[in-house]
Amino acid sequence: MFSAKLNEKNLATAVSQSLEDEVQGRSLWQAAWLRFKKNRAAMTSVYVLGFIVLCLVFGPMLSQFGHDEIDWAVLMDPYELGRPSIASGHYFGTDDLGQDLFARTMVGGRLSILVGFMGAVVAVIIGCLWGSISGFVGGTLDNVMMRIVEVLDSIPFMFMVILFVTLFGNNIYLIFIVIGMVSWLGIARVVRGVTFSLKNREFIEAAHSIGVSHWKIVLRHIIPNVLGIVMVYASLMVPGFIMFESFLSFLGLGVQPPDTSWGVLISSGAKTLDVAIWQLAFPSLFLVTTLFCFNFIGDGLRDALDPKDR
Amino acid sequence: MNSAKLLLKARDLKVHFPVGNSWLFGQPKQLVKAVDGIDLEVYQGETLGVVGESGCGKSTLARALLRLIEPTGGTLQWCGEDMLAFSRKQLIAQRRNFQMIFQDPAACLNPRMTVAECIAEPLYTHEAQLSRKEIEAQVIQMMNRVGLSASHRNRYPHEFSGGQCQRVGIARALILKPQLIICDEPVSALDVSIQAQVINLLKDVQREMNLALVMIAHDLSVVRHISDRVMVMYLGKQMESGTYQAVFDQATHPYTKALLSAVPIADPVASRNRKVQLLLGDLPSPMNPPSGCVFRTRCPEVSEHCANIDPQFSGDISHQIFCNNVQL
Amino acid sequence: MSILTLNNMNVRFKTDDGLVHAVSDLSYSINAGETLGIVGESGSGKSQSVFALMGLIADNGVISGEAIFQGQNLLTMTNRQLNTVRASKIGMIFQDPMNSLNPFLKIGIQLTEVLQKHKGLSKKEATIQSIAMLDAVRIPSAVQRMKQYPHELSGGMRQRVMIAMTLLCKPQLLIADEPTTALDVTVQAQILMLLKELQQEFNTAILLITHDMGVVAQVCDRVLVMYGGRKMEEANVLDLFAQPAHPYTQGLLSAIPSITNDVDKLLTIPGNPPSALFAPRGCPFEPRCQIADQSCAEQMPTAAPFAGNRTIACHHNEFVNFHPQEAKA
Repeated sequence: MFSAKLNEKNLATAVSQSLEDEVQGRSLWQAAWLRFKKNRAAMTSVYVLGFIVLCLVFGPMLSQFGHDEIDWAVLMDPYELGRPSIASGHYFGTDDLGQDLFARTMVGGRLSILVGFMGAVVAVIIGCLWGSISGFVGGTLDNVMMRIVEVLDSIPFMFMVILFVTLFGNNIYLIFIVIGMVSWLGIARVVRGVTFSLKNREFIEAAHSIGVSHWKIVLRHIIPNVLGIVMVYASLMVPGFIMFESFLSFLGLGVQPPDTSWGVLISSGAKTLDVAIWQLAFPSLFLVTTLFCFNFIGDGLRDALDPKDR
Repeated sequence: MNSAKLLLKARDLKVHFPVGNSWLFGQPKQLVKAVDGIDLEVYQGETLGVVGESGCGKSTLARALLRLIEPTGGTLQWCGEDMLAFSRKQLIAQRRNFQMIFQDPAACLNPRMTVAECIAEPLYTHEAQLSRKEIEAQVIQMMNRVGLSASHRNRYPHEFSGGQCQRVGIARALILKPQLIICDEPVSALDVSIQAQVINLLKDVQREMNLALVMIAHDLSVVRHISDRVMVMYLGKQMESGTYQAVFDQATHPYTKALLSAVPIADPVASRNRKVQLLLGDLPSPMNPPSGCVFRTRCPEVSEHCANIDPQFSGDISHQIFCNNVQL
Repeated sequence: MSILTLNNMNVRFKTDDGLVHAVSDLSYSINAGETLGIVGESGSGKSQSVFALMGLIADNGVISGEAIFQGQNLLTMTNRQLNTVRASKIGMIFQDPMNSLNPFLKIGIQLTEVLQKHKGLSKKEATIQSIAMLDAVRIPSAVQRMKQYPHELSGGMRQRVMIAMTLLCKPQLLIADEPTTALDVTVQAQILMLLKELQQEFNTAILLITHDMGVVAQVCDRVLVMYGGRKMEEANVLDLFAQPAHPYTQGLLSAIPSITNDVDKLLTIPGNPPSALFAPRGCPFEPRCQIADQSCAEQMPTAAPFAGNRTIACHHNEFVNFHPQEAKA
C-alpha cells in the first residue's frame, strides 16, 4: 500500500523536482580544506613544497651537467673553480670530484622525497588496515596483532640494516624495505585506538543493525573516519623518514655513489665545511626547507581536521 | 490484538555482562545483570512501550531483542522461529525485517557520508541487485515521505538540525519496509516542538506500513502517547506491564505509582496540588542487586518478606504486576 | 524589590561563518525570593544569556547592554570584581555536576575550601558548617560523605553536593542551568522539591533555566519564554499555562504529550528552529508562525506589556487560541 501509493504519484515529481534545485552539501573534507586554506603557514608550505618538487622533477634538465658527470676542468681545484657561479654553469658549485652540485641536489632530492612518501604511503595502507581490523575485531585477534606490532617495534632496526647490508650487500632497496617494515607500526597503534572509540559510536551500531557485513563496516565507516587523523600523523612522519634515510646515508649504509641523496650530500659537504661551505649549504637548505614545509602542513592538517572544530 | 501476527516473543530473556578482568592479575569476574528475565511479545502493527529510569537495562534490552548484544539466557523467537539459533548469515539476511532508530540523531549517521548514502545503505546491503537509478528513486521517495526535501540529499549530516537527522534515521530504518522497528529513546535528544513532529511521523508511518514499534523511553508522557501496551522496568526486571490505560490510569505497582507521581506535568495548578510520592535513595548497583524484590530498598510499601521471596506475579495479559504486597 | 535587572542585553559571537546572534535585546528582572524560569529550546540563547551575566562566555563573545545586580553593572565588572560576586552573592549550578566538581579532591575539601577562602573561617568551623549544609540538602550520613570523591556518588547526590556548595555562602541569587536534565524523574522530583524548600529557608532568588515545561509549572513563579535569542513572552506561571498569549508559547504547550489525557495527534510547530547566524529582520518565529503576515517578516515586534502583568513580543497581541487541542476520538 505504502510503496504503491508513492511509486505512482510522487516518484516522477520528486525526481524532477530534486534535479531542479539540487543542494550540494559541504562534506567534512571540504570544510577541512576551507579551514586549511585559511592557514597561511600551511598554504605557503604547500606552495614551497610544490616548487621544490617541480625543481626536483625538471631541475636536472636545466643543468648543463649530469649528476654523475665529472667536470674535469674543475677537478684540479674544486674549492676555487667549483664555487657557485652562473658563468661556469655550476649554479650551486661542485663537490670535491667536480660533480655539479645543482644536478646532484635535484637528483638526490628525488630519492629523499621518494623515501619520505613511500614510507608514508606504506604506513597509511598497512597501518590503517592492520589497526582498524585489530581494533574492530578486538579480543584474541587484537591481542595477537598488537603483540606482533610490539615485537617488530622492539627490534633495533639499525642492527637490522647492518645485518641486511652484510647479508645482501649495499642496496638502496634495503632502505625502502626497512622503512616499510617499521613505518606503519605507529599508525597501526593510533588507528587501533581511534577504531576502539569509533566502534562504540551509534552509527557503527546502526550499521550492525542494518546488517552491513563487518568487512564493509571497516571499509565504509571506520577507515573514512580515521583517515583524517592518519593524514595528520603521516604528514608529520614524512620528515622522519627523510631524516632516517639521510642518517643511514650519512653512515654510509644507504645510497651508494654515483647515486646520491640529500643525506649523502650533507655528509660529504660537512667534511669540507671550512673550505667549501656551499657543498653543505645547498643540500641542507633544501632538506631543512622541505622538513619545515612538511611540519607546517602537518600542523595545518591537524588544525583543519580537528574534530573539536566541527 | 491477538488476531494480529506475533512477530517477536521473548521468554525469560537475560543479558549478564561479566565485568573485571579475571585473566592474570585482574579481579574475579562479577556479573552485571542488565536484563534479568524479561518476557514480552510484540504483535504486528502495535506499539510496545518500555519505560524505566537510566540504568534499568532498557537500552540493553533493545539491543538484545535484535541480537546486537547476544542474550546470555532465555529464548527469543522471530515469527515463530528461534532467533538465537540463526547463523550469522541468516541473521544478517533477517535484519531487513527488524530495524532500529537511535537516541542521538547526529551520532547515528556516519559524518563522512551524504544523507542519501546513509539512507541507501540498507539497500546496498540487502538489495544489491538494484541499479543506481532505482536506489536513488527509492531514496528520494523515502526522503519525501519523512518530510525531508530531496534536494538536500547530497548534504552531510552535520548540515542538518537534530530533528532532520532523526528523520534521516527514520528514513534509513523504513527503506527496506521492515515489520518491526525498535526505537531507543528516539526523541529524548530533541526539542519539544521537534519531538512532537517526530512522534507524529512515527505514528503515521506505523499506520501506513502496519509496523510494529518497540518504544524505549524514559519520558512517560511520550510513551503513554504512542504505546498500545507498556512495560515498566526497574534494575533489569519487569515491574508492571499491560495496556497503556491499565498501566497509566490504574497503576498498581508501587514503583509505577512513584514514577508517575514524579513526572512533572505542564500544568501549574495540577502539579502543585498533587502529592508526589518521593522515592528515597538511589538506584542500587546492578552488580549486586537486592535479594528478593529488587525494588525493596526504595519501595514505600516494603514488608519484611520482600527480601526473601521473589515478587509474585499476578494479573493477566492486559495488566500484570510483580509484587509481594500488592495483587491485582 | 528586584535584585537583578537586565536591560537590553545582547550577546554576539564572532565566528568564521559570521556573527552569531545568541541573545538579542533581552530585558527582565528578578525579585528577592522569587523563582524566574527561562524556557526555550536549544539554541534559544537561554543558557548564553546567563553565562554572559557570569562572565563565562567564550572568548569570541561580545556583550552589550547592562545587568544591574545590587546597583552594580555585572557586564562592566573586571574579572576580579566578578569573582567576588560569583563567589559570595550569586551561585550557579549546572546540568552536569561532574564538570564543576574536581574529581581529584574529596568533597569535604572542596566544600570547606569555599568557606575558608571567601568567609575566612577556620578549618574546623568550615567543616562544621559544610556538614550542616550537606545535611540541609538531605544528604544522608554527611560526615562520611565529606571523605568521599565525587565519582563515588550518584548523579542525584552530586547535584545535591553542588547545591550545597553554592548555598554555603548564602547567595542572594541562585542560577540553575538545567539542573535536573541529566537526572531521572524520581531523582528530579527530589531535587526540585529540595530547591523549593531551600529557597524558603534561605530566601534565595532562583533563576531556573530549563527546556521542560513540566519543571517550570512545578517550581517557577514567573516564566520567560525565549526563542531565537529573544524574549517572546513573560508572565506569571499560572497565567501563562492557563492562557498562553504568544503563538510560540501556545505551540510549545500543545506539543507536549499529556500523561493523563489521550490525544490522537500532537499539535506541532512546523519547521525547524532558526539559525542564529542569519538574524532575521522581523520576528524570529515568523517562518514557523501560523498567523504571521507581512509585518512580522519585516519588523521585529518589541516586547510590550499586555493584559495586565505580562509582556509579549508579537504584532498580533490579542488572545486567540491558535492551537485548539483535539480530543482523541
